[in-house]
Amino acid sequence: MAAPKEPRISIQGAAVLRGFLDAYPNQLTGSEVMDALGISSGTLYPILARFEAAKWLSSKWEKGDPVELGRPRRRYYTLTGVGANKARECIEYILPGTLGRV
Amino acid sequence: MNELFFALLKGLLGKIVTDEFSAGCQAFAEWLVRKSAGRLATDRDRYLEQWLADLNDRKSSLQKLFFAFGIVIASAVLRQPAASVRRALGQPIILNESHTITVITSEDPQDVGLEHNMEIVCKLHDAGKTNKHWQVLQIKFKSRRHDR
Repeated sequence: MAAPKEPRISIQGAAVLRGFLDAYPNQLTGSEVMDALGISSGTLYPILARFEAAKWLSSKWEKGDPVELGRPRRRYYTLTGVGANKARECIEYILPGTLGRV
Repeated sequence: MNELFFALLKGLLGKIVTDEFSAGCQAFAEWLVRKSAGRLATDRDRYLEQWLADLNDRKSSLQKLFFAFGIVIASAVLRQPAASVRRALGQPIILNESHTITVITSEDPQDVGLEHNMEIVCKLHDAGKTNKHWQVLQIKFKSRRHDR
């Protein structure tokens, strides 16, 4: 199987990577990322889809039955190992020296 | 006494109007999310549940509305034909004898795991020695999820 293509990275994409890197290895929902970064849903979900297709992010459903939960299940995203390395490279390239200060 | 009565009435009516507005916003936002998810080429059920859950996590009615309008944009981006396919529409093309060609295949510039194929079916018209032109009969778009 061919390796996934590298996704293009916008400013918002870099911000999303930074948000996941700060939370790593914790998982975040789209709603939590929006709250943390102030990015709109229209921008966020295509970015999440791109990074997931590139295997920089992985996602899984919240445990539990929607009927028992009484609401739809949340989808949790987390950086993969590859994604964490790529995120560090990307942020180091855009803002050199900032990662060590966080 | 009258002033107190009108103040109470005003408060009660205000509460009713606010509650109705809030319920209306919630219903409209859910409708927008359902419509947007339904227009996706793939993963409709996944995105519907995910977006409804995230909509549920928005606190105020206005936040829910903004979220839902954003989802309309997100679904439009996710189902957008490949940029390369759009570019191909403006390119000169060479047609084979069967008058059917595939202009471009297996492109995924949005990097969302979807390949977009476009096929143009054309017919050659010959109206004399020099007046030859192609008529486009059909344009087919096909999208499929590629292996991850």
